[in-house]
Amino acid sequence: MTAHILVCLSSSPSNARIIRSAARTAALLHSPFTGVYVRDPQRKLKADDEKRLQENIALATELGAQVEILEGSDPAYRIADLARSRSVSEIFLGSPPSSLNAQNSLANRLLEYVPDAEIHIIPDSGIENRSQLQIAGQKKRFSPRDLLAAILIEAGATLICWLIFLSQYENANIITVYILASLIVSVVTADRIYGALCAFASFLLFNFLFTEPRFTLLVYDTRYLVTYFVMFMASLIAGTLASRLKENARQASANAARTRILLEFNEDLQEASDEEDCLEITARQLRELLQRRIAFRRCENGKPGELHCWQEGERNEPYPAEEKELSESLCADPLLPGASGEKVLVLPIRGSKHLYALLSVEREGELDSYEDHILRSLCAECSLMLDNLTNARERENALILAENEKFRADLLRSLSHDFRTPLTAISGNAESLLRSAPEEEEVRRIAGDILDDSGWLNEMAENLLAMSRIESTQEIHTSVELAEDLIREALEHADRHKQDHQITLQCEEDLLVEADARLIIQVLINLLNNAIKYTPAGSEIRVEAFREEDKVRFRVIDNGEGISDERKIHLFERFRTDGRAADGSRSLGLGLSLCASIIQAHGETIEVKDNEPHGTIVTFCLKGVDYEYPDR
Amino acid sequence: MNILIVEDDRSVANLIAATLRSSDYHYQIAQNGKEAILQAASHAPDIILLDLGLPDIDGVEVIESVRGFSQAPIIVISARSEDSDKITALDAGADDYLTKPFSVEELLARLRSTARRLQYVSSDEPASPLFVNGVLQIDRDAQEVTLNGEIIHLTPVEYRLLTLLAQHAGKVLTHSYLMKEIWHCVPDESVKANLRVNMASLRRKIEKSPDARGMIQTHVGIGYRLLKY
Repeated sequence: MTAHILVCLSSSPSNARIIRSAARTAALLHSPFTGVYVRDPQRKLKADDEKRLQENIALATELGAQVEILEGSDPAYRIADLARSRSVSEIFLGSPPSSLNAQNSLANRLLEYVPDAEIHIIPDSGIENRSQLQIAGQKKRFSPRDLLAAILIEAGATLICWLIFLSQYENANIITVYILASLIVSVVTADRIYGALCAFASFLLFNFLFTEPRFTLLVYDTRYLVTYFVMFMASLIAGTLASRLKENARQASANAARTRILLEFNEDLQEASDEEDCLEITARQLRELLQRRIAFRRCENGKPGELHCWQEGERNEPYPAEEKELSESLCADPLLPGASGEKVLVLPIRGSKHLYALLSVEREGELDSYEDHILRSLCAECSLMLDNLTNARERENALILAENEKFRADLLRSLSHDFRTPLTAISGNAESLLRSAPEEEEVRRIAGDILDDSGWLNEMAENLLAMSRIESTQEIHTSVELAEDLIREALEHADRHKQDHQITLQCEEDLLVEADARLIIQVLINLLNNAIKYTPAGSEIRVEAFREEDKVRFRVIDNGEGISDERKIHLFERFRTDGRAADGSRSLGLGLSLCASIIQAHGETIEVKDNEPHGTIVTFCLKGVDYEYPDR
Repeated sequence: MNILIVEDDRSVANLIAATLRSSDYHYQIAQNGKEAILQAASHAPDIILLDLGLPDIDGVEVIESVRGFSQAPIIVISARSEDSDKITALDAGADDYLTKPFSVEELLARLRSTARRLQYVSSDEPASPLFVNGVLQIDRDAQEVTLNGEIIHLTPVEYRLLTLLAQHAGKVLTHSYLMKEIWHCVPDESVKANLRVNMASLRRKIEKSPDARGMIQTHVGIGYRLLKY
């Protein structure tokens, strides 16, 4: 199983330490790295906590984590859920030392929910102070509207109870009405505290108004104590249940809303035909969701392009200038998770291979973490889509390229094939002329030229054919061949002027090589023809083959003028002729580049060296084949 | 000597015709495969020069049809440099091949050597244990090979290879044919290596005599041939 590291993010100042140690582990194991923060919708973080949280999220992103922001009041449950779905192997979390022993600490519950994962607990002294938060939260909970509603409902309930009491129905009905009242309060109001207050008030009112002695809080009949207790507990529990239900429904709808946004966005994106379109859809969607001005720049070759921005109706001010600077800094550093200035926040839209675009959001009034999460999710979705588009286009291009390549190869093949038949007639007739009119000098010269040129054309056709084979597929058909056979065959097909040179063959016995015979013969013919063409008549040309460790080295050596060092550098480039060819003898310069390609396809390289005292050595190796003599 | 030229390209047909005329051969020209089979049946040519790329039927089919009624040597002329075409043709019953563009000199040399072989085949007495080819002499009964009268020592495989080549002197024998005949097994890389090395060694032993130089021809990627002197 591969490792997957999960780190729990929090607004604690020491959370950074935990993130770093998790990131180190992830880097060490080369494993995927996820950061998670569970937002409790019931609790609003204080401004500086929120800020620290954003910093920690940014840090995690920077260190390579994929940050997930989840919602729920039970962090352990949500984290465990994520950990299971991602097959997380190690969880890093901070915990105040004091809470470690507590039965329901986050760490203990995670241990219970995700028994497969290793859990690393890092002492965290500064983890958010719950009691303090509780108070901060409660202040907000007293909303006059909710209080008024609770009082009105309670008063209404009391009125109904009064009527029931007057009409001499059983007291049990009164209790039911009060339980109903606290249930209604719990549903209507935002916090369960109203339900609890209601339950308490109902108990007091029932005691005060409807039990003997009436209009006092005294109790004569001890049986009523049980009734009071049951009534209080029933309305308290009913209220709590109702408010929890409501909370769950709210959470679910919040999650559903976000899922819907992402889904709709995804559907919109599917319709994008190109990258520009994709970015525009993203920007439009974000503008609607965040109600802020959004701008983007496309990036090409690591440089930010032109700014795309939509002006909102009455506001016609230019987009904040600092965006440009931030964009440039983001382009320069591919690892930055984003950059924020005074007025704008710039986020990179980065695919698997490169940076596609930079998206900037005006940060007039800080983005809360929900908005931030939406923003980052949409950016991630957008970059995924851009990746898809890019990949699709690359595949298409590759297909076109392959088709072009095939067309080229087919063309070359049929061309060089069709060359041969007319060349047979041309060279054959020239040869016949040469044979039949030995005494006419002029005819001999013309026939000789025709023969030479058709020979050259044939050589070129052979090279084109070999090139179409090697370049279109890079595929060679090797078999075991005798080095000597290859060289002899090449000598036979070399230039017809070979008798003007002293060509010798020096080959060790029984040298077996693994080679594509046709192609290697073509290489040797090219090397021989070059040596014949570029050395004066009477020069020595020696072809050698000898064992060199587990390989067989071939050398074509001449004692001509040699090749200057600057020419050597470009010798194997395509369509480059040796400078000496400029004197009139044609050459496409195909021969040597073809030789290099063929030898390369055999997994070796071709080299050119100086001969002593003068001349050229062209040399290459081929894979040798061991041979044992079973029959001797 | 009567030769059938099967060639659809007019210039090449003319070239071959002119070459044959200059060397006093008789010839007919067939321009497609069907015509070729008809003429081969009606004129009974001594040698057939067959272009593989015919407009109507595949050259290999022509070889197979002709082999149904005639054992006349077939020299295949191919513009295709792919070895597999030539091997298919040789295995189908062709004796030799020429690759376009070929030289006139080469064409005449092939015709001469084929003609010599025809003489040998016609004068062949199957009972004769003696095979004589220039300075080379093989005595099948004594399993003895002499070169200029001197005995040369061959390994069993070399001897079998030589007798096989001698039996089909003048004809190009493909690698797969030789491997099947000598080793009786499916050819793989090690058998191929075996064949190459044994052939090279055999050739070295025979070419010790300057008179026998070039008697065994290597056709890289295709096969070997013992040239009939």
